[in-house]
Amino acid sequence: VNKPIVLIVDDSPFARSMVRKMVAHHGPYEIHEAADGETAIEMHRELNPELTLLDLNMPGMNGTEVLERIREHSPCAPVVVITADRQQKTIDRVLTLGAYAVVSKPPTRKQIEALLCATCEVFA
Amino acid sequence: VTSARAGTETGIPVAVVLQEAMNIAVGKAAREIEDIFRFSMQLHVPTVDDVGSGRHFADSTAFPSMSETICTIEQEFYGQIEGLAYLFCEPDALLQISSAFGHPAAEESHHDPLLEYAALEVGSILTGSCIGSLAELSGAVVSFSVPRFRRSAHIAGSVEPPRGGVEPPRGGVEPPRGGVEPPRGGVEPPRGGVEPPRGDDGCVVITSTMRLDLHPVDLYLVLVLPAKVGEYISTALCWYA
Repeated sequence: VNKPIVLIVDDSPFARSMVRKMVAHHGPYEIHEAADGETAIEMHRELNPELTLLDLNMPGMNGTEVLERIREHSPCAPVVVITADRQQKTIDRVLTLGAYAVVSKPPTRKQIEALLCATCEVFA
Repeated sequence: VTSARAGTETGIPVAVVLQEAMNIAVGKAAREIEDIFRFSMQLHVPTVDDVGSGRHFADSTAFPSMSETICTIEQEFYGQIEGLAYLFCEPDALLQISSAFGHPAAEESHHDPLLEYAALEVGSILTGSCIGSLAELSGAVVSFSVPRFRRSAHIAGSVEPPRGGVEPPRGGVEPPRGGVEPPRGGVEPPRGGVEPPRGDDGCVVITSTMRLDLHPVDLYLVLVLPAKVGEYISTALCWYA
């Protein structure tokens, strides 16, 4: 049985490590990481992940641009924004762009598990 | 702290953890500002610098967009997380902030005392929320001094790094955001450089840049923490992870 693929996009190795642990704790997922926007877009095209966990505030191409680019080739792929930026304006923007959900950093294990259940089981 | 003392339990350098902690803290603070004052900001990835002995604080930070008079809101914090917080901005940023308060005279003078009240209010909320968030992430209890406002001709004249650690306030601990001290008038002359911290372990300087959406002017929130505090936050956050 193929494992559901989860792509974690964050410039911070610490944030990626934290989310990776939470995903791995929930079950057997194939977890990939991208540290920047360009890599994330390439990996998304290649892997077509069941769930993408995307940071917004990254140097170079930010998460909003990444989301826009992903939407160009995958209009319905679940992309969850995990961001420290809690401003309503930011949240509204990414939801308008088609984010599946927005989670404030640091995410809790329960939040990650709920997202995995909601997306990977539905879309796998 | 940045590389020499790398190696938390997760194997991730302390500076990387602090960068993420500051990212989270500033994001929360920006939300509070948006809720209260109805203006939003673009947030940038924070930077973390190690300020060892012999290096000047002003040399270790970059404020690329600041070219004229610098306004500083300065506040100490005490407890398991102690250090100094600075909010740097140009007078134009104060005008924007003040207009968010609905202050009609704001556009007429950079030296209007009400501008300073606005700056102190926004500065203390940003700092209070940011430090409060770091404390929450770390399970720490923190208290704050009253914020102070000053103007200087350049960055070196606007900063006083902690000297031999941060002294707690005398006569009891002040609650966070416990009022705003009246602004002090006049422009302080620039001082001839900045003394480095005297602690044995140096300090960590975390800088976060925020650009106001109202007008493209930058605010810089800078935290100066003793190295041991940086390690404390980092360890606590790794524990959370």
